[in-house]
Amino acid sequence: MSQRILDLKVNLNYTVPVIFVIEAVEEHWQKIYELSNDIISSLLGRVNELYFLGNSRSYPIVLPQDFIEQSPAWFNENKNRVSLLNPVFEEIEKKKFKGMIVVFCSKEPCDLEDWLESEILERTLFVMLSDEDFPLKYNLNYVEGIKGATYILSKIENPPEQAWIEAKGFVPLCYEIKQGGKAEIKFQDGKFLFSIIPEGERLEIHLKVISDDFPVLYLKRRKGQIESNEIKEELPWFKDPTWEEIPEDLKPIVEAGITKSNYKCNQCGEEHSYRVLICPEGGTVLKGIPMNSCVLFTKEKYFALSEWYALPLRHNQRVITRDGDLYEWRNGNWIYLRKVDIYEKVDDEVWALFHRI
Amino acid sequence: MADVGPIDKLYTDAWYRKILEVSQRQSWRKAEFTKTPWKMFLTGVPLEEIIPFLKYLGKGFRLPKAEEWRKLLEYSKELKNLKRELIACLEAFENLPAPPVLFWIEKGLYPLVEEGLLEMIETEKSPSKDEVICIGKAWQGLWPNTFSPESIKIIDFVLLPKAVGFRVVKEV
Repeated sequence: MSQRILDLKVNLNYTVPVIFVIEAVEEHWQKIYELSNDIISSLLGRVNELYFLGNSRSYPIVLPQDFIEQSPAWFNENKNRVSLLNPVFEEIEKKKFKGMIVVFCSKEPCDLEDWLESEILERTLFVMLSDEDFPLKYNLNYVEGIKGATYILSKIENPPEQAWIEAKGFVPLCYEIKQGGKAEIKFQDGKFLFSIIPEGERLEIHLKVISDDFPVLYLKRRKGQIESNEIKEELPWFKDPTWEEIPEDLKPIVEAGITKSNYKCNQCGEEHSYRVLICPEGGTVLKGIPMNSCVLFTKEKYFALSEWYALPLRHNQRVITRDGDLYEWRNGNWIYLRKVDIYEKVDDEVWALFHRI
Repeated sequence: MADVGPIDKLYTDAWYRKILEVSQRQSWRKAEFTKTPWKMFLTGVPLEEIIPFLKYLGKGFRLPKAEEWRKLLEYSKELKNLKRELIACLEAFENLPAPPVLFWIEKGLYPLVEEGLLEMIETEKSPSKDEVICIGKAWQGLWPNTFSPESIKIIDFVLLPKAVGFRVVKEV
């Protein structure tokens, strides 16, 4: 067990890169050229490589101009090659490419059967250039080239549906989503899951976490398998928790809470039990202290978790959330203990209070 | 021909699809290696279309001679007994042979000489048109026969192209 606190930065592009694979057949080259050109211009910077069926060589496209100027020569180098997916797909797999693959072809590739039911085929869109109905005999993603670039573009998109961060012993302490969606923290089966509903084109998050293993960002798109993405460590983005001085007139109330005794109300002048947080004749007794999230007290200071999701306690073996839930690390899992009681002692000389108004 | 592509009309997509009409291709991921093993091989390629491929492979690549092939047959029993060592040797390399090859080694069928394809050999005899000189014994499921593997056969290539394949040796 080596629970440690990490400062992390997530930076992920939701848009997928695209690879083109072309059957070098003279009869359809003009059509392929026009469609490819339109798509490359629309997906600016996302089509970086081009292959020809039967050839493992990658032709780089740094700028759309590269395709416009060089592709006729690339085509001539590959004219009439056998339509094989294997040399291309094996190369793409070696590179661990996780984007979309668009195959322009007029006939079924000779070795299509080798890839049926493979993960890579889920991310492949066949653009059919002839009237042959070859893909219909298999359950493939395909589109007829005649439908034009705009329609093909709509089929290339592979939007993210869900993202989440998890790791052994992981607990998000605080976070800030700069862009890319909304977060929701779930606790299930002894694990905290930092779940994100994606929005926009990029995801950018700053996080402070406790974790045993280094956390991983998982992304599920509409097509293909779940992607795992590395997260980088960064210099602390969030300030350390700032403990505020308890106002002098509230100290006796907090002390009564700590000692579980009565206190004299500074609003009505009557004695109340420490469990009374709202005076029957007035308002909240701890005026000035935020009460909609969990508040931690020492005898002199307090800290409200409003901007933090959770705070580690007992050498990171316990956490308390802003909703006043206590969790403990036992046998490789987080165990939910309970909702914290009023002024419950949660660490050495630290008491917690959660009261939702 | 991965790096140079087709040579004139040879090794083009149209050429390969014509070959596939004779020698049906089956994905090794789905094939039954013992039931229809011949579907793992490219057959039906005429000798004159194999020669440019051998040249492409480089110096020293050619078809085996009958006596070399017979030596392989002679050693095949020993190779079968050495299957564990052979697999261990192959596993030391980064690029393992395709799964069917490993399967045949494990099953003691490698190097597929007692039964396999009819294999074209290098010979000084020139066969008449439409004939090829072969060695080996075809799988019974491919073509029922009583051939002895080591004898040389003259095969009518027009009648039986799908049973005729080739093996490449390299002189060292």
